[in-house]
Amino acid sequence: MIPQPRTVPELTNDQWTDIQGFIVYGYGILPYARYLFLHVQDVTRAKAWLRELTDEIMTVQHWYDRVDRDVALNVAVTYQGLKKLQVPLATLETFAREFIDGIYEETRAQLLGDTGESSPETWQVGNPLKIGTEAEEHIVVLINAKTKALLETTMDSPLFKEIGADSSVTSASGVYIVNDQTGSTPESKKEPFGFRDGISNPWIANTRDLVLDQRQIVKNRNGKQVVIGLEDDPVIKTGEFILGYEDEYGQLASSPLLLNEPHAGLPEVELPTLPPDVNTVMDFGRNGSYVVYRKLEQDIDAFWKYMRDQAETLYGGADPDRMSWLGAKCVGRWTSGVPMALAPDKDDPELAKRAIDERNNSLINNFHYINQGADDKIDDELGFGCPWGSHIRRNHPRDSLIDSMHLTDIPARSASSRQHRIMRRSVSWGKLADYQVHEPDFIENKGAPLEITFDKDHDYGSDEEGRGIHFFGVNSNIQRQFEFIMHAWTNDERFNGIYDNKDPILGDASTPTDPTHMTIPEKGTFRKRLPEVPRFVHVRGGAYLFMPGIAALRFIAK
Amino acid sequence: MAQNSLVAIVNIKHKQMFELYGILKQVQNPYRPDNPYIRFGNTAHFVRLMIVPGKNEDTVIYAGEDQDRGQEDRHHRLAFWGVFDGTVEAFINDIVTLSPDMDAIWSKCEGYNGNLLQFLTDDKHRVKENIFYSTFPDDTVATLNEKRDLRQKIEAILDKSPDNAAALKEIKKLNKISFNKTYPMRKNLTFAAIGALLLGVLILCFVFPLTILVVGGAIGFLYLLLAQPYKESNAPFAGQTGALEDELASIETKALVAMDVNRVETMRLYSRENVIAQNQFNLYLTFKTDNRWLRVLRMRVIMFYIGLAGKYLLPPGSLGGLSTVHFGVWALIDDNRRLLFMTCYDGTWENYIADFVNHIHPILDIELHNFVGFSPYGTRDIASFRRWLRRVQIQSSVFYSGYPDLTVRNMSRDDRMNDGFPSGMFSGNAESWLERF
Repeated sequence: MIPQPRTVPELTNDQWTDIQGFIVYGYGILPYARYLFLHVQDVTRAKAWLRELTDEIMTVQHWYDRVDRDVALNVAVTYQGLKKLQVPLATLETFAREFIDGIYEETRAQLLGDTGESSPETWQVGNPLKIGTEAEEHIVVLINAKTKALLETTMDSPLFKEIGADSSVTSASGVYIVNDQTGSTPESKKEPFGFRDGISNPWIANTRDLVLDQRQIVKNRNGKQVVIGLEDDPVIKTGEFILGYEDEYGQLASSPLLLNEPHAGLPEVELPTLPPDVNTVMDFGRNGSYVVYRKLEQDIDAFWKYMRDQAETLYGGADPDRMSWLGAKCVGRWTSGVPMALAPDKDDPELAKRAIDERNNSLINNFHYINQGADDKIDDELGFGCPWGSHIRRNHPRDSLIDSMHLTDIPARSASSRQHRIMRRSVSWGKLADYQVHEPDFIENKGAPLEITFDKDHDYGSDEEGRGIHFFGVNSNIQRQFEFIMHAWTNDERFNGIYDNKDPILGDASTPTDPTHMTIPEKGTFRKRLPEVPRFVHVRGGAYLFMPGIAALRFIAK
Repeated sequence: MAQNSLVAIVNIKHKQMFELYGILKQVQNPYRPDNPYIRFGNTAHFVRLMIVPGKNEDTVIYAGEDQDRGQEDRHHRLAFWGVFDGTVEAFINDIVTLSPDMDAIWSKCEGYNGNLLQFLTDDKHRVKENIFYSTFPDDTVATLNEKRDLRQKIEAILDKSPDNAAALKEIKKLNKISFNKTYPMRKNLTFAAIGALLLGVLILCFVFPLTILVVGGAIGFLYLLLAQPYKESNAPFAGQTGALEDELASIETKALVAMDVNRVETMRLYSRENVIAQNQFNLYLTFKTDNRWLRVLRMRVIMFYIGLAGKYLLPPGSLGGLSTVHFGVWALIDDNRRLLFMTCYDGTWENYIADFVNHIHPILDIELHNFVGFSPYGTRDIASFRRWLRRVQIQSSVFYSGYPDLTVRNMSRDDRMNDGFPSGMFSGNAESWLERF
């Protein structure tokens, strides 16, 4: 019997009121962020409070309408939170296994490189030892605001005033804070190591017209008019990031289901046969997504000291330019954000400035690695510009995966890469103001090259305990997207045919018994090899979250 | 020295399975060289041992999957697969000579009389492979390891060398690894043979016009044989419901329990995989009972094609664009009621499956459509496909590798490095040879 084709829903404009803005937008104009991890103390009150909160959530439609864009509220829940909020057992069981297991699950932690001093038991956020205790995290409220004052005003609003400070008294909201994280994005958009961040995010199919109003149609290198971002970094199918739509395999991503609730306001799933006692099956995940949270601490001192030591060993002196070049080779982009595949020999600050001035990241993100023919200026197959083992070439290999090299065009060569994308949302945390690198003794003290600048006047928060980023990864299939990237690309020493290299930025790096290198190919001669690359980024928190659509959220809060 | 493969399946004695499992667990996957039972010689590429569960004590590995088991399936069985250089006799002799107590393993099996060679090569036990695929058929364990060692020596020289001249001076003191490469000749001969065959058919068609009907009929038959399952598996957008139905199945209590147990098994598999550079994968598939003869015939045609391409046409290091597969073996077993597929590959299981689907999903669809439990929506229904594979997969209890740190891509690079040694053949000069490190 040939199975009958079924209709695949396509994301249409009328769904925008049901999708949380966080999934589609980076809220670039709202640089201040606060993440409240809440414990549900009293289910009835918490549901009532959540209903109120739902009315305030920034949806795609709200953001697109450009009304009241000073603060954006979004909400996500943990698996424990769904259980606590009494989501039906049958629905709980239909969530993705990795979400049910949690990011801290032992095997998973190994694959993600969350070991040693980065192991989940040491985490500040999402620590598995807190599960089942009064510090278990259930709901995460994500607040983005234009100014720090607005962030504070939001916290003073009646809705947030109802949140309890701790478990000692029952709050009016039925929830209390167990973890309060703050962060912000400096105007320079640079992450703590000093590299411009947030450049490479995929375009979600059928949401493109939402963001294209801020984009331009430009001439490409052949003089042809193109919509930027389409050529080398194409649109990714909606279902890779929003549940309920077609993904890059031409399928619906696996989505949680709700049974026998025909009036829940959720779309019905067509199925040929239903189990006994089941009358209707609704798509509980529709318009929602899974969100991976990671609190990452970046050891800036160690990073730049390592680059300085390597510059001294390889070139006989800690020349800031050389240090910066080595750091850029590890990242795959210059500190300005310009990719080394586009500018292999030296940074292109003008291009970087244009990308900022025109608010057009595609200018520095629309590139590939493998030469397309005589007219193509890019030729980085051997990694003379962007090394194979660098951070960006591992985590988004584009057209450079060996198994796809024999294929003829960029879309075909990038197919595998497209099936493992995530939507990144990150802000910096921790006090970076100490890093006023214009001070003459900075190189001596901190080891960073001179041109690494942070915003001197920017208030990076009050956390004295290290610095780093809050990372959020939006994806509809955690295992195939986030976990795959971390395991098969970031932490695989033999990624794409290289030897003993892990991601020098995010990888779980050398252990005493298994040193890893960073190989930097060079044209006309043999490679430089940075030995025993230490771990520069440590994991301080993590969680797998479900960010429901508005209708599903209303059902949870019912 | 030619590579060879030995597959054998033997019955485990009644009530001895758990004891045997305990022993194999000490030998381990990945293989522990200090185990007190079994050792392999330096001609062994890969060796695996796995327990194929029988009917009477079904495990969750494929609960509910198998509809067609005969009397012999009441036994738990031990499957053995070795890939080695040289003769079976020498390979087994190494095991016999080197192993401290291999009889602890074999004595748990029916019919073992102390002679391992005779036991494994006995017609009752030895399984004839329908295809044996090797990605580097000209290499031996020694040449693969030697090329890796050579590369490491060169890397060490490069780490210390100030410039090309100094590096080359030291590198030229090393020796190139020499062995006989037959691939280019094999490929040319194959193309010549195919050309001659086509020419012959063409001439026949001219001389005896009826030949056209025969040839046309054969092509038509092949088309019908292969096209139908592919079409069935590729109805447009049919895939998505498979995953949802799977989820829905979990709602029923019985299935919920089975799925959870299955999940424990899956996580156990997961945690063992990708521990070394290579990985192992075994499928034990049962043909659907309707039109089985047709399904077996279809499988034979596919295997013939894969065998031909793998042996004579595909370049070393690439199986239809997949540069992760070291070895693979396909064997029809149990009176053609089942297919045993075993492979050694690189990287994560998840990656491997995605690679397969991306590169050769039409072949997979045509092939797997014949087996019980395969998603009617084909491999593109990747979620269901993965779950099904996990259910029909049998993990190796013992997995030995003669070069546990080498991936196929590494080997390809090492081979090209060796080809160009010492003065560069990538584009004819030493400079571009050095650039590739």
